[in-house]
Amino acid sequence: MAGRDIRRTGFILACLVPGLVLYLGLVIVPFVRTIQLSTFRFSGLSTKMVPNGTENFQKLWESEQFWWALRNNFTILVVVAPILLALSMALAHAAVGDSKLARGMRTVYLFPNLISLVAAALIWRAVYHPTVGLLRSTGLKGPQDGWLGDLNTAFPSFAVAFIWVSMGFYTMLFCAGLAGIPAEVHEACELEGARGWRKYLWVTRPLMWPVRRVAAVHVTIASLGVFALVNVMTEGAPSNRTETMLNALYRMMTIEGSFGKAAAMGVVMMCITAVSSSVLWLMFRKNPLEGRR
Amino acid sequence: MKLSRRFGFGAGVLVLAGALIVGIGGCNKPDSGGAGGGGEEAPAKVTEVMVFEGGYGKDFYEVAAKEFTEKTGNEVKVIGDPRIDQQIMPRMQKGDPPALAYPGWRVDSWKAVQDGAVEDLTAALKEPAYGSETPWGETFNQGLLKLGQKDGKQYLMPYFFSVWGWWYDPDLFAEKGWKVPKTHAELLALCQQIKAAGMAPITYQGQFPDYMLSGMLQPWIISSGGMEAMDACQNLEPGAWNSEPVIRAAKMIRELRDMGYFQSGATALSHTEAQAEFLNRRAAMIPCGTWLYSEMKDEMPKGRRISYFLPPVLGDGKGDPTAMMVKIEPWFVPSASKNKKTAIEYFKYLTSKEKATQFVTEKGTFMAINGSDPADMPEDLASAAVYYKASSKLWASQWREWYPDFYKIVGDIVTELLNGKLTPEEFAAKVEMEAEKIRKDDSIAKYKYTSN
Repeated sequence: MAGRDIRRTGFILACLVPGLVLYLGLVIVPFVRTIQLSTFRFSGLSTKMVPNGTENFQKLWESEQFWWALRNNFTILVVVAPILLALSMALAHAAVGDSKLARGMRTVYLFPNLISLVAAALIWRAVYHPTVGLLRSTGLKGPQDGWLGDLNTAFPSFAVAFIWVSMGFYTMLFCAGLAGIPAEVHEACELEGARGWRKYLWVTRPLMWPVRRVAAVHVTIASLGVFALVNVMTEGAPSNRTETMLNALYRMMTIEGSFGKAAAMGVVMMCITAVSSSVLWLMFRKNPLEGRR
Repeated sequence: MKLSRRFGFGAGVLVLAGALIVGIGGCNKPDSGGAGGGGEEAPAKVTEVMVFEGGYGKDFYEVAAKEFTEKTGNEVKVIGDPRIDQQIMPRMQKGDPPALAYPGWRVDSWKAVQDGAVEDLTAALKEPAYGSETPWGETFNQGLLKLGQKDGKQYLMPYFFSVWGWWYDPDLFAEKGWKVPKTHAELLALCQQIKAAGMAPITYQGQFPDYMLSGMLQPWIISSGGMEAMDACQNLEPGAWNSEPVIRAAKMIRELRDMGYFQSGATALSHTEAQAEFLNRRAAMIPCGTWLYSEMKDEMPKGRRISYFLPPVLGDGKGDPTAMMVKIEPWFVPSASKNKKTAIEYFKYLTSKEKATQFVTEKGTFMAINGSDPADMPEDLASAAVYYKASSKLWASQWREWYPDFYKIVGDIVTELLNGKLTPEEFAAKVEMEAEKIRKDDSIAKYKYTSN
């Protein structure tokens, strides 16, 4: 009995150790080290590290860059992401089914997902270019400082690009969710005369709950972790209007040579992510269909 | 039983995590200080030189290393990469730096100086230069050499340098009968002419406000208030950024915008986009440094010529109208290196008159080494050389490297000025407020700039 127990434990351990070591080395250790680093002044250019308490956090608090980054990430999460999901859901409805058109549309939606984020960022720079851009060539002059140079239009312009690159993935996800709804449900709806909004709100939406939960988790991570798109498209310009937390972190570390401040930014991001996931957990705690049966 | 097993497992994980953290933490001991070096007694066999592979490549340094090895028997290995900063920084953090480093514009080398991680080369400069009797330090342009000094000690070394200014297309100007403006009044008149001809007079690299700071704001602060006004700004003297010359310079920028003399949408343009606008004749003038040609040579329309001129100055200004802004990309010897001696010898070889002249000829840039300018410079550079020789005042924007966070913030505020969100007065007041924060911050080392 005991021998079998030990053998079983040994087997489990053998399976766990590689993953565990990787997780420790790549997640837990950097995690603890980042918290530690956020209390030091460290240029990244020598071995010298000076403990400085909460100074890094104070500096963040006092900088406009930090507040813009925070504000932009929240706007993406609270305003842009819901728009993105709603549009994806609508497109998914349009592209569901087996017709040639629907299949064609599903392929087209995925295109933005197939190209790299860097290429997408460059495409959108070209779209917004004030003299030879796509928008300009359609006669839209845009603001005097350019779509990406005007303090008021820069963020919305960026948000459109963000939606464009992200939409394919969520559309596909929702397509799969819609396809997973059994045919007899649709038939029942037909018989009962439920269609349009009523069908969506009372039948499709609740049935899509697991898929919507996946999408919500994914979009939260994507919204809080916007980096490549902003780094290539604007680098936070003009005057921090498109700055994001991760891009700010990167700049603090590389351009400003303030590793401690960057680490403090990382710690703040971690707290925000923790709060956001708790909120998500509360929102999607219970499948609405459970207990209804 | 079950509980204890789970406990044992959890404890195991914690111990493992702790061991890893301690292990990694041990890699860079906090507070051990960058200085010290001390390893000179056991130099490594190969002297490593890490260079930024920018517009001028790395081949020159590699060839020089080969020659140096043949001549002296000391093996020098050049490691070059466009992102060499990503290799230099971890090495500096581990206390195992290369013997000689040219990290490029991405690294703020003054931070390393501040940490005591950079070797003081004052003594080395008194030794004779390579293959010569002259002290090494005397072979450099003294004004450029000074840009690497702090408290009279030499830490950073200049190699090639660039000058900032404005650019125009001489063929286009000749064709249209336009004259290169020397004064602000002439600039305004010319802009009106260009605009009437249906062209955007001036474009700029708006995504990176650095170009606006270096090409317009600072030269016009100097033009308006004299060099001492800009010195005071660089030294963060109380009230300097909120002074009349700064407001005047900001007004000059706003005036160009309000008159519609800036290319529409330029605030959104990246440096290469704006430069392409200029080269494709969609804008007549652009502020930039002398690297413009090498940066854009692949996108240069065939037969396009570009020429340099100084930012037009105020007719009634206090500043020296020949004042010229220079910029170096520093090299340094990390003090923790074991091969400092060979590194210095190799850099002496690189900065010998012979090699420096060769660099100018091959790469087409100015060198900080006296007498290195050859007779036949590339045309774009030759046009800048004329102004360089005639200039009685060289200066550098050193606060950019000394206070990089402040520099970024000023750039952001300039963008707000360009966007019309701030008036010139509000601009100056806001910059002063940010300068005050840096002034009061004891954690930031302060430097002193004197243009003399």
